[in-house]
Amino acid sequence: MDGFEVQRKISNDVVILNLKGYLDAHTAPQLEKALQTCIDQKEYKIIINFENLSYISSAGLGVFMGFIEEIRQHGGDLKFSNMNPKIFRVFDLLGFPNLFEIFDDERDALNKFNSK
Amino acid sequence: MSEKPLEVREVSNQELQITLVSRNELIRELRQKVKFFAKQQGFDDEEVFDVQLALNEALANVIEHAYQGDQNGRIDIKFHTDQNGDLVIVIKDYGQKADPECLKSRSLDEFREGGLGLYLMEKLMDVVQFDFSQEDGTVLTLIKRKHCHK
Repeated sequence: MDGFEVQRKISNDVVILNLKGYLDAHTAPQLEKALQTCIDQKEYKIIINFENLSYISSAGLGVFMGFIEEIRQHGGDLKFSNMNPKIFRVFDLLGFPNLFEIFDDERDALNKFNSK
Repeated sequence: MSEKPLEVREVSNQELQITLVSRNELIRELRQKVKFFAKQQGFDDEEVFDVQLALNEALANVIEHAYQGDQNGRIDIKFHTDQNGDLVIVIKDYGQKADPECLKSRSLDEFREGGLGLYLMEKLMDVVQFDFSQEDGTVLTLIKRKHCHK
């Protein structure tokens, strides 16, 4: 039991990854694999829903940093939603709100993709 | 060290010593241990969260950089409270020493993948101090002052 899961769903051409549990150096490779699958399938519009994520360390944030350039080069984006205050604090400490769009709700992130 | 991947010795109510091997899967257990210890010492929820994350980052750095993925490196950790009630965490490894140049504070713009851990530790803790004077390995001291939100 790793204590971390990625559940994937698709809404039109947007992939939504729901993260659950604890994301750290031990479990980050699972997230890396899920994002690599998106890239391999040329899915570049991605929402990460953090509603069920209990914990994140910099290893998790490093995964997003590792993919964002390639995703944006292909006209896509990584958008984040449903962060609890503890998770948001880690993103905020590292200045991520300047690099990524963060939405209160998954639907708002979806609307942003669909409005383009 | 013995064959157990993680050993805990409760020296007193104010001091806990832990020895573990350099495996990422043990970090979660360490987060639980420091959470329990810090709560017991009267730190509030936000402080406990900061300490958990800083310890997590320190251990991940030791495993990745000092031991470079070797899963059998030894790490000694001590949690204790000092005379002011501040929480002191001392982490000793026996691996490769870091290049002090790599441990200088950098601006966020300079970070890409990796390198976020030290920056976070400095944001979360009141003291982050490396001692490279040991014959083997490095000693990292982290201090969190009680009820002194940064």
